[in-house]
Formats: sequence, C-alpha cells, structure tokens
Amino acid sequence: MNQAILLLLFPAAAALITPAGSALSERFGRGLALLSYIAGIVYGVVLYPQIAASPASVIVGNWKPPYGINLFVSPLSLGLVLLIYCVAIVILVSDFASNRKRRAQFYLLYSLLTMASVGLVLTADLFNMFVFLEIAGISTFALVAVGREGSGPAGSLRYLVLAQLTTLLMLAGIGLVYSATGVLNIASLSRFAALNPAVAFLAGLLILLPFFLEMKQFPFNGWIGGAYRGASPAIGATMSGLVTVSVAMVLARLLLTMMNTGSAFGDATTKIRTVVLVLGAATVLIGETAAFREKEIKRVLGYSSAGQMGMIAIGIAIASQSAVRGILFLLVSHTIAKVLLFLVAGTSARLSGSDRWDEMRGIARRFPLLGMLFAVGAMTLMGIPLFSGFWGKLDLIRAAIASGGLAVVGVVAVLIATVVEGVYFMKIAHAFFEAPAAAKSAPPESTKQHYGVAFLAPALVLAAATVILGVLPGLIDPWLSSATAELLHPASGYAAHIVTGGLQ
Amino acid sequence: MVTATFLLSAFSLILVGIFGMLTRKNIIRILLAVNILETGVNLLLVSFGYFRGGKAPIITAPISASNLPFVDPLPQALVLTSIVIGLGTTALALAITLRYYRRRRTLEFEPDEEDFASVEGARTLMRDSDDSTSVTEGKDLHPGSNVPSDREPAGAKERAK
Repeated sequence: MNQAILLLLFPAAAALITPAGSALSERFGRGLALLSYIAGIVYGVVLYPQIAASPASVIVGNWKPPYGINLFVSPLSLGLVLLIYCVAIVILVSDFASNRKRRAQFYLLYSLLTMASVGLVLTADLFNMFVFLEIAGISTFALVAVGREGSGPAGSLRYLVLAQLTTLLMLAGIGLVYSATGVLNIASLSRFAALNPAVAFLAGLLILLPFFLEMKQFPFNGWIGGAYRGASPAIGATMSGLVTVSVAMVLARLLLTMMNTGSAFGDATTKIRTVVLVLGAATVLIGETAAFREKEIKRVLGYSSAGQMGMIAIGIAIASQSAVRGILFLLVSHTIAKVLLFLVAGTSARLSGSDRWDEMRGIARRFPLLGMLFAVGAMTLMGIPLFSGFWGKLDLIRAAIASGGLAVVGVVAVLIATVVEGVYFMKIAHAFFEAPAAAKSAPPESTKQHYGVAFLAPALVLAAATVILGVLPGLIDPWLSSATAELLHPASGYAAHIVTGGLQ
Repeated sequence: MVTATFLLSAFSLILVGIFGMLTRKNIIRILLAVNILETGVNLLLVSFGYFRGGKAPIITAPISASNLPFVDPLPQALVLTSIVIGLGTTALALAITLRYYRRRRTLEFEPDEEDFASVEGARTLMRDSDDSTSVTEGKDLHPGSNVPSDREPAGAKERAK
C-alpha cells in the first residue's frame, strides 16, 4: 500500500518541477498544477473501493510506527483529500478568469499549499503535522503578501507572527508529550497510559493552538481582517475553503481520536473539550457579529468563515455520534459554499470596481446569474432547507440539545448566529438586486473576460453540488458513517490499523 | 542539574520571546522575538532528550562501550528540522517586511493601518487588483532602482494622514 504516498507526491512534484518547466512556457505552471491534481483525483477514486474495505497505513522510509512517520489512508482522509483536490482545481480554473498573467511562483506556492493540506489530512504523526502546518503557513504567507499592493504585506505579516507564535508553542507541546511518553504517533498516544492530568492539559492545549488559529477561533483571530483584505479572492477562497478542511479534520482527529478516554490525555480530555466548546461558542458570536458590521465583502466572508468554524469546533467538542456526523457534513458544505461565494465576490469586485458590497448595488440586475449564485452560497451557509448546510446544522443542533449541559450554550450561539448570518447575507443580496442609486454605467473594459466560462463553469458546478447535497443528503451517507466511526472509535479502527498493521 | 539549567534557560527564552512579540511595534524586533522564542523551544526539546554524560548520537561504528551512552537522537532530529523551518520562515518574513517597507516607508505596524488600507484599497483595486505577477520583478528587489513605485506609497501615506 506504500504507493498511496503518491497522493502527497503529485502536488509536491508539480511544485518542484514548476520553476524549471516555466522557462519553457508561461502556461506550464498552471497546466502542471491542474494535471497533478487531476492525477491525484483519478488515483484517489481508483484507490477508494480498496480503502473503504480496509484502511491502509503507509509506512514511510521503512521506519515502523510508532518510531517512524506514517500516513493513514482511510475513507475519511481519502474522501477529504479528494475534496481538497477538487476545490483546488475549481479555484485555479476560476482564478484564470480574473488573472491570466500569473507567474510560475504562484503555482509553485499553490501546489505546496495543496500538498500541505493533503499531508495534514493524511499524517498520523504529531511532528509531521507540525511540518505540514509550517509548509501550509509559509505558502499562505507568501500568497497573501503578493496580493493587493497596499495591504498584502501588512496582512501577511500579522498572520505570520501570530501563526509562528502558535506553531512554536505547539512544538513545545510536542516536546512535552515526547518527554512524557516517548512517542509522537497519534495512534499510539490514543491508547497510552494516562499522563499526569496537568501535563496532559497543558501539552494538549499547546498542541491545539495552531488549529485554533487556522480555524480562526476567538482569541486567535485578530489576523482575519488584514489577511483577507490583502489576499486575492482565489487565495481567500483557498484559506477559508481548502485549508480549513484539513485543519478542522485534524482538530477532530486530535480531539476525538488522540484525546479520548483511555488515551495518554485521558484525564484532561473533558477539560480540553470544554475549552474548545467555550471558545467555539464565543467565536460563533464574535465572528458573525464582525461579519455583520463589515463592509468589505471578502472580509465579510472571512469573518463568516470564523463563525462557521466555531460551529464545527462546538460539534467536535460535543463528540457524540450525531454531532460528529453533523460537523463533517457542515465542513463539506461550508467548503463548497464559501469557495462559491469567494468566486462570486471576486467577480463582483472586478465588475463593479469596488471591494465593498454597498458599492456593488444593482450588480445582480446587470448579471442575474451572479446574484443567483450568491444567493445559493448564502443560503447554504445560513442552513436553509434544500441547501446542503441545512443537514449539518440540524444534526449539530440536535446533538447539542441531546448532550445537554454546557453544549446548550453552543446551541444558543449557533441559533443566534444563524439569524445574524441571515440578516447580513440578505442585506448584501438585497443590495445586489437593488437599483443602483446613480447610473454609474461604466462597466470596466473586459466584462467578458471576468464573466466568462472560466468563472461560470466552476461556480455553477459548486452551486449544483450544494443543491444536490441539500436535496439528496443520503448520497454521502456511507462516507459519513465510516468517517464518524473512525474518529469516535479509534481503538477498533484507527489505532488497530496503524499500530498492529504497521508492525509486520 | 545541567538539565535543570537547560530547562530554565529554555523557559526564560520562551517567555522573553512571547513578551517581545506581544509588546513590540517594530517588525524587525517582533521577528527577533520570534527567533528568540524559537531558540527557546529548540533548547527545550534538546534538553528533554539530554542527560548528564550523554554523547552525541552520531553512531558510525557498531554500538559498543566507546559510543555509549548517547542521548536520545529523536529530539535532535526534530530540532534540526525545526531550525531549518525557522530559517525559512525568518527569510520569508524579512522579504515580506522589505515589501511592507517599500509601500509604507516605515517598519512599524501602523495603528491607522485599517483606514490607510481602505483608502488605498479602493484606489489600487481600480488600478491593479492583484500584483502577484510582479512579485519577483527586478525593480522590486533592488532598493534605489524603484523610483516610480517609491513615489506612490509616500503619496499614499500623506493622503492617509
């Protein structure tokens, strides 16, 4: 099964070959990036039936777990890898609509970021996770910094400093875990003798810090405004759609699989989950409030993403069957809808010549389809029935009420947030369809380029996906069931496959 | 005793680093603080694997009394990786800082950055909403030769005030 590492190697190879190949042709980078993601999808789809029957642990360099690094390919991780590749393709294709002159460096960084996201999902080793986080971080900082001239570097630096702070503290936490247990393998830690509760609590929280940051959780989300203003829409879509898939999945893996009763963190699990729950509820409220009063559309989407990630954190912290199911569904639907909204936002900004939604008045009258696509994305995020967000939120709220206790605070936060989301998305949609105050009929020169197939095709695919999932949520039911079981019952699945399956 | 000294210095460095990152406004100083924090964390990791009298875990001959006892090699491998990552990140951060300085003519994080950016934002979007294409153009990398792009931020800053 060791060839499953190809899932990681396709984008890595694309990143490394891009600079050399770009000497030959300007279009080499884009072609190679797309080709490598398609190769990843084809390989993943071919592999899937086999993996669904029996998950595989890929041992890298013949260093057997728990001493070496291994990757774990399961329905959960493979499914999300496929989602990441698809989203990456959609974003790159639509980015072509807005900027045809991307240099090789952009594709190099983008492929690195894709590789790091895939790696985060696949890896089963804490230190390897730190390395992938750093790779994802470095490529994101660079991609944000080259964004719009005025605010790109400023937003990127703020993000960089905060991200470095949290990843270095994570490294200290990893050191603590290693000195206390002697292993860094998630599967081994999930069935280890319990550590001293204080050490487990400290180390556990330190390890979770960068994931709080990447998921924009409350005390660590000061960077959203700057980074999302600086980033181009494609990078915004990537930060909030693609990277969050992997960090949310890793948070679930750490909090559900690694920090379980019977794991090294057994005695501190409840406390850590309470912290995550409280931060998640705070983030939901703060994120949505910030989105509500924000005028720049990309930042609205950035803050709304913080709110959605808060909901996912609440679901992970509740840790019941139905909560985990709900957040996995929510994660998939958030990715689809948020990428769609970023594409629409980028195109609207180019068509109207402004970043602010209150200056985009009437844009949907000129381009009705654009307004429709925005409404589809917004209704998915709100969780209106017939759109995919509905099912995830429903499961989450049911689970939270069933589990009672502090989780009820989470329910209240999610419900309030849904109303707030409804209000600001409706405000924006209303502005889109409203008649423009003054006839500023100066459509920028290249309407056709910004509003052509390269934008419409990916956007329509995403809109179709969220509607199909909303009408037929049963489609991903088998995947959800096996993914939930994998996260919640590590002893029978995850740990058993890695630790015994590894030591042949 | 030796390990305790290591641990104590590691924690001091970590605290100095966090303090610097949270209190400084100058970007270069913040990046220095990041590096101090990083050194502290690396020292912490190495000291976790250290014991008095341990030898460097570079084993070229079969294990015998001459190369025993050696310290735990794994933290050292982790620290090597982390040093390399730290170097890369610092280099990238300095490159971004240079870019920031070109635009703003300052190395401070500006408190009025929000207003500045929105004034400048509307303007740059109209002109060129994404200059990723020019990231490595020669003029960006050589101070002194970028006269045209120098004029712009100076003017923009005045407008912001």
